[in-house]
Amino acid sequence: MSDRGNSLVSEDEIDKKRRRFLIATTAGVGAVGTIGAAIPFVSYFQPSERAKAIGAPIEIDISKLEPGQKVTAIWRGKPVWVVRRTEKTLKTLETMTELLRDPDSKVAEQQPPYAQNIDRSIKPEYLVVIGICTHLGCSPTYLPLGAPNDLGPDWKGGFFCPCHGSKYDMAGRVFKGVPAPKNLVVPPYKYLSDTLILIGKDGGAA
Amino acid sequence: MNKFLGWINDRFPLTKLWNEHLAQYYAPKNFNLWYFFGSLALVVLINQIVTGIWLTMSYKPDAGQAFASVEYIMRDTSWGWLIRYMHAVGASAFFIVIYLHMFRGLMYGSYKKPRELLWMTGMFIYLCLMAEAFLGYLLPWGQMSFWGAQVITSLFGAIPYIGDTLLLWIRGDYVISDVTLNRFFSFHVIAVPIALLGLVMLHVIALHEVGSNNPDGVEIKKNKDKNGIPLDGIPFHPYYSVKDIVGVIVFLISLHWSYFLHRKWVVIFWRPTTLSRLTPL
Repeated sequence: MSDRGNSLVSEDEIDKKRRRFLIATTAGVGAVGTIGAAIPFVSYFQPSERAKAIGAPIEIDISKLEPGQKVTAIWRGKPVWVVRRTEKTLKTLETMTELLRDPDSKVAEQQPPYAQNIDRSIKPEYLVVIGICTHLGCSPTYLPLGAPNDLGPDWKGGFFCPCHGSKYDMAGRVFKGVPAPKNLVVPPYKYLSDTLILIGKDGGAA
Repeated sequence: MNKFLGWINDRFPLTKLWNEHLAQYYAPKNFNLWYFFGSLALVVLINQIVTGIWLTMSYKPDAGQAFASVEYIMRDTSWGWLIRYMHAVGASAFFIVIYLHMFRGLMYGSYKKPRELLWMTGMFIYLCLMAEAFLGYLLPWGQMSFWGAQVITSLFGAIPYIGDTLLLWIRGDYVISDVTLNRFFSFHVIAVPIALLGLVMLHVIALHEVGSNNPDGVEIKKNKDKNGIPLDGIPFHPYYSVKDIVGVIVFLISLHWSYFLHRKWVVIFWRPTTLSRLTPL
């Protein structure tokens, strides 16, 4: 560098520390700006207000649901089942424990806290679950006790996924030895009246 | 890390490219304020491409849905309004920056030997830019879009003998219609941007071949030290790369001022009629 006769400053006069500081702070501000600029572009991918409006909570009228019957509604593009269970069905739930992977619903994200019980519901009579198999997203078939099926004489009623053979009991609890890893998901819900259920919102009530 | 770099360099000239175009690319040390606008043009180009990609995710190039889909971007998506403002104001800023860039070239004679091709590629970039802006102006499908496209395409109708046929061919209909909108969209998001990027690459290659001019007109390549390094030059990286960040920050502050604080400036660039629904009557 000594041969650079026309340099305005000689090598010794350069304050390297100051120069490094200036380069680092300028580049630092540039990096912060880049990260800040990324925020709108990343959040743009979130569901829009229209998608949120379409995915708003829905109401299901259960006044005409007979014991043993199932009604299906669509919430956020997914089937939501409401099954009216009989006393007899509810009694079978206690006998299933040995056959189930998670009989006590210990996997917290599969249901709200108020459905973390043996019947996985607010009112034991009504089961509310999202009808999507936790394996690869097919919709299982409702096979109540007595319905024609090939699942053997021990079948006490529940749900059977035709895609890969996963089985769930009448509380949406998954069997052992099937591909599905978790119980069916219970969506957040609450009773607006004795015959009207709101799916998708529970008011945070436990 | 060095071993990995060596592996890459044996197969791809990564370090070579880095050095030739950044770390050992020497630029005159006497650049002044005017020399910010080249890098700012690149920043706006990237801004236009990125925001454009995001807008395309929600925009519908359909005469029945276009206007509403733009309103959807403005009202219903997260930050869509900002991304659209960045695209629209960015387009105007692009021209401001390019005009200052061109003025610098004229003022200091940067178009003269040996930089003729640098100037020419720049002129083609400018042409592409005008085409790109004009095509994009139709897409919101508002009043100004329609009548702007009506007037500019009518220019081709003034060509003797073939004018009417050409006009029909460009519009693909007897009026600016869904067909026109669809093809303008295709040109705006694919064809012209590809041409633009290619030309920008040629422009930068030409620049790095001949080197930058400067306010004093010193040809830094004529005066080198014994290692072949220009005595009046400094490496582009880190000196100008970091200095350019300062220019970018000042530039972006002025744009943000219009997005967030003085939205009426956005509308001044836009003209209010852009915001009213199209009618061909």
